[in-house]
Amino acid sequence: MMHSRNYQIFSVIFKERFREPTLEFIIPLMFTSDVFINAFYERGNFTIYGVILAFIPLISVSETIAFALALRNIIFVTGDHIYRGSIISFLTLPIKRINLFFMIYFSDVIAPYIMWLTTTEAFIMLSGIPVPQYLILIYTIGYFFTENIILSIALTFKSAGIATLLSSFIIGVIFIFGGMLNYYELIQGSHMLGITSSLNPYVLLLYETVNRKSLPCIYEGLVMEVMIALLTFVFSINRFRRLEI
Amino acid sequence: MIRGLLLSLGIMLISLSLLSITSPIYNTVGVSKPYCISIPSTAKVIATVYDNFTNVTIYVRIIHGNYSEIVRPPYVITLTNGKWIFEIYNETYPETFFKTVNETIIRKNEIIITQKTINFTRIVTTTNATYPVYVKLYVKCMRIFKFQEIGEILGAIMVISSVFLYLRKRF
Repeated sequence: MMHSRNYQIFSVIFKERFREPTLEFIIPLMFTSDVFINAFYERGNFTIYGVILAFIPLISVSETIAFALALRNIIFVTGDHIYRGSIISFLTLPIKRINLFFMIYFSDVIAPYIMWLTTTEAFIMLSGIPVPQYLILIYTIGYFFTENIILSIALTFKSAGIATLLSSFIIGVIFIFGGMLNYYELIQGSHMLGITSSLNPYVLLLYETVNRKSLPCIYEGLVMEVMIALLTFVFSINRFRRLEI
Repeated sequence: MIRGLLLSLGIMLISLSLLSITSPIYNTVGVSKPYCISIPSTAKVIATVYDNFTNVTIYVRIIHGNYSEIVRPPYVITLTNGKWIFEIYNETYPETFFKTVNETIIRKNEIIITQKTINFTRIVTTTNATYPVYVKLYVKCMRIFKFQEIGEILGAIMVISSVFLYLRKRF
């Protein structure tokens, strides 16, 4: 069976990232670790509060796996190729550089996201728990926000060690200190919540469910996250097009 | 790749649809405002309504769909699928009042007026919730899948088809 040339190149790129036992391990692991949605829902007296707790990254195992898989793909596969210069063999393939970038981006970032989305939605459907769909949307935006930041760091600094340390430091600072900042903003009266809610919207979600109030500034934060994600994406496209080995 | 994936997904679906979370969970909720809880069909919950006061008689109304019952704690009920509301129907308790009374005593030529405080009790029946009742929820077990049969059937189909694919490759 003959496939088109683009498909063959894509399958080479994809198979390099997901070798034989990776998908067989990752997809069932993601699915089974969604059991924590049930456990938190039960623990939280069958309220939305427990479901939101179960969807916080680092507490939710499947979200963390998706994030870590994409981080490994970006830094230790693509970044390593660029650092060692073995990306040249891909660049010499008869394909435009921008198409090559989209193929790499798809197999690095979008493929783990699709795995997470399908397993989580299937689990929600089978378990019958009323999960509000904005949780999925918030994680989606946050996922692309962080992965695009990591991609632009990896394309700028190239070395795997520096990229790992710097990206984990930056993402950790954004998530943890952003959460603390939101917490103090909520306690001491909100003036900057529209800006800080982009750093960690989960604190505001928990506040909303506990106090039965609605905070419209979450949407401002989400819009800001989308803007930053788009900016870093365009930045990394430009970096990749002008890449010199 | 597709064979291994089908096999692992099938085993996972079958095992998840057979398993359930069985570690018991206790939660105690104080009810003064109406307390509303929605139970999913996957959970088995036993609720115990009780109060801590000896001289207060509390009646609690339990509403579930069209079913409504007025009970006196302590009371044990198994909660089935759906929305349950616990609210206080009425409370009866003795209340002590103090009253100051002027007492006039006439003795020979002098009149003595003394003030005296009398306390007396009255039985009060209100619908206001002055004393809370407690609802102790005991989650006995919770199934992981609501649609267990679908999970089992899908898992079995996946395992069988992966075995079939292995055999087809082999022979």
